[in-house]
Amino acid sequence: MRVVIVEDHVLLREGLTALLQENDITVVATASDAVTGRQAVLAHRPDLVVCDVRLPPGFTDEGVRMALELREANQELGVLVLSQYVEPTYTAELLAAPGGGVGYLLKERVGDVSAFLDAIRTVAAGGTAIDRDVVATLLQGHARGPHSPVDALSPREAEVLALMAEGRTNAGIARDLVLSVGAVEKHIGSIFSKLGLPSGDSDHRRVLAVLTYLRAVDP
Amino acid sequence: MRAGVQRWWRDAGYVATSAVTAILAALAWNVLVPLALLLLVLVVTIPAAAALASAWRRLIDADRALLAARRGQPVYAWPVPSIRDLPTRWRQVMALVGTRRFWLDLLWLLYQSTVGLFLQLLALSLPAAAITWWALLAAGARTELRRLVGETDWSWAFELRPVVAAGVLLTLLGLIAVPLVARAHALIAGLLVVDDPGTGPASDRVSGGDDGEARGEGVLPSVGDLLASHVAVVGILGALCSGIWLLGGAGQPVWPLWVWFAGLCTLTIHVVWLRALVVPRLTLVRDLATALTLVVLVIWLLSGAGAFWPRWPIAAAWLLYGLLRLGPFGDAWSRSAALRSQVDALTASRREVVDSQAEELRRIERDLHDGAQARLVALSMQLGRAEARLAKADRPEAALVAEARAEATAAIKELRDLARGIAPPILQARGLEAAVQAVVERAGVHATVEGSIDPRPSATVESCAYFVCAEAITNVAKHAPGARAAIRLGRAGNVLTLVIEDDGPGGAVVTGSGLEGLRRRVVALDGSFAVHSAPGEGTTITVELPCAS
Repeated sequence: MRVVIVEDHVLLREGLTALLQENDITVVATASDAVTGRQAVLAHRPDLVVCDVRLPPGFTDEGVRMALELREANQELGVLVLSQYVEPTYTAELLAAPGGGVGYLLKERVGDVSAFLDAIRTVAAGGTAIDRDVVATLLQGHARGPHSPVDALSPREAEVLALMAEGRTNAGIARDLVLSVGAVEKHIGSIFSKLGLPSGDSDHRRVLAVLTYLRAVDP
Repeated sequence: MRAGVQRWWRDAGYVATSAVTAILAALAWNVLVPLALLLLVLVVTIPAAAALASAWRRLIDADRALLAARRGQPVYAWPVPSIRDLPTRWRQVMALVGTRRFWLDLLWLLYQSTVGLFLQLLALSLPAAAITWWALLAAGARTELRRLVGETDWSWAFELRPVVAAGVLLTLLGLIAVPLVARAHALIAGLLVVDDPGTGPASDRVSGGDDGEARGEGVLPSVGDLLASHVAVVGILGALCSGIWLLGGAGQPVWPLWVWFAGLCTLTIHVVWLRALVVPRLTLVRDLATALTLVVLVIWLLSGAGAFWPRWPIAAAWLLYGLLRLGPFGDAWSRSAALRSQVDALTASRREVVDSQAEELRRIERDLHDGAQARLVALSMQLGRAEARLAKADRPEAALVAEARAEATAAIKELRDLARGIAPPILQARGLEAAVQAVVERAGVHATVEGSIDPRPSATVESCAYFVCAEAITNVAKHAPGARAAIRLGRAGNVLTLVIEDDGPGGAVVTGSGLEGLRRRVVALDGSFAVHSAPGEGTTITVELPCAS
């Protein structure tokens, strides 16, 4: 797998590069701002770009904008956006972009190496990895609605949903929650039937369906 | 005999009493009647004078309010365009001509220079005429009285009747007309100058040449724009007349010169009028003297530059200015000017303090983001790598490192919450609507966010508005769970309006709550803050913030 990293903080950039290299992921280029990042991606055509939301010179949302632009140019490209903050707005924009893999994670998730690598591989393969905080925020927004189907989710199902959105495999979720894989699958089936969504295969599109549902239905 | 003497005394007494009464009566007539008349004059002139003063104040207030509504930039800071700016200026002028506002302004100028001026003169002259009438009457009646008492002719009283009646009528008219005219003037000013809400601000937006300039312009044109539209009218009219003159053979006399002159005169009056509302009175007198000098000089030049008659009006105007400057008024007037400039300086410095505080907070947030937060993330990542290696080697230290990483993650989360409370990054990146929407989503409140704010206000105003909305939304989540809320954001000219209402239980109090802190924030920016929260009727918070961008 070939990756381009766009991150202005040198410690993080070097750390991320080392982390990925030692796990057999090739970092073909790194950049410290959106302009050189864009050039690097266009020059190297990687499978995935990992970028920070805030980049020089404006330090606002250049990373998200860059990711969306690159995605528009090449729909095969996976984009994984890292952020210090969780903003459902950015999640929505990234999910709305046409094409394949999308990830939006809090930066500290890189500390959990195996989960982070899971997310990287999921996104590169065209899947979705959305931070559990985003899911929690969206669920919280719904939980207060009168007769919201989200209310019907058990706490355990909400946990499963959050991990699922993060791009974890069923096995990964089972390991984290200390459950059997069968139990996880049962929870997932229950979530889909409670939200009234068509339960499909284990495609990551299902995450998309859930998140789109959470964003679209007014609480 | 005794009886005869007694009767004589009695008769003498009668005669003497009559004589004294007659003398007293004559004296009283002479003194009391003018006194009574004087009293009458006072009774009617004092209200008339008060009406005169109030009329003047009302007229000034109407225009002051109007200017306050329009104030985008100080009048005296109107930029004189350089040759290089001309294409931009031209684009601006053409954009102005295309707006409804521009034509309303023209109508206002037309009204102000014809009917408005007449109405104002009428409002001021009626009470003045009444006062003069009574004063003349009083002065005239006194001489008349002396003459008439000597000739014992009583017809004067009947002749006086229509005169008094006319005075009473004049006074009544003055008393009625002044408030009426002032009201009418204010009404027309309101119609022509203040935007009616039905048209919506976006349709009237005046856009400038490029983005940078467009951002600085409000919905209503600033005073500079008003003048620009006036300049445009004068220019178009003058050019039109010059063209007609040229097509007609460019003969003598060169009459378009007089059109240009009249246009420039109205422009001069406009500038002086606008300045009258903002500059000290002494400066205004200087302005008037300058304007007069220019006007008479131009008239002299246009009329063939014969004998130099303008020296007298010019000398008189500048003599008046000199006297006022040196005299007792100069001191008092310049003191008021000093006070005014002090207030301006204080306002500006307070603004700077508030601005620099907001800037400082944003800097702290950025430092946290780039410094401590980034280092902690890097630390957490290194710990994660160590943990993975140790786990692969099946070493028990892996658990210890995992604990350390959990601590780092907790610290990151705390820093994140802290930084968000200081200056939310999405506010800076995406503006108020997006930031408020994010707060609504995070708080899990059923709220709609409506309206848009264009152009974006300064960061200080934006952050104040954000914290007001955030606190109000948090309050709804805390005190009125399950309630529906609506947040309306809007900008009309240089005023940002926020309305946050919910259908919760109401009964919120401002003092000693989070609302008090919000009120202080808003007031520090010269804004207004109102809370309506009767028990059972929900809560409505209305905030207006001035935002001259």
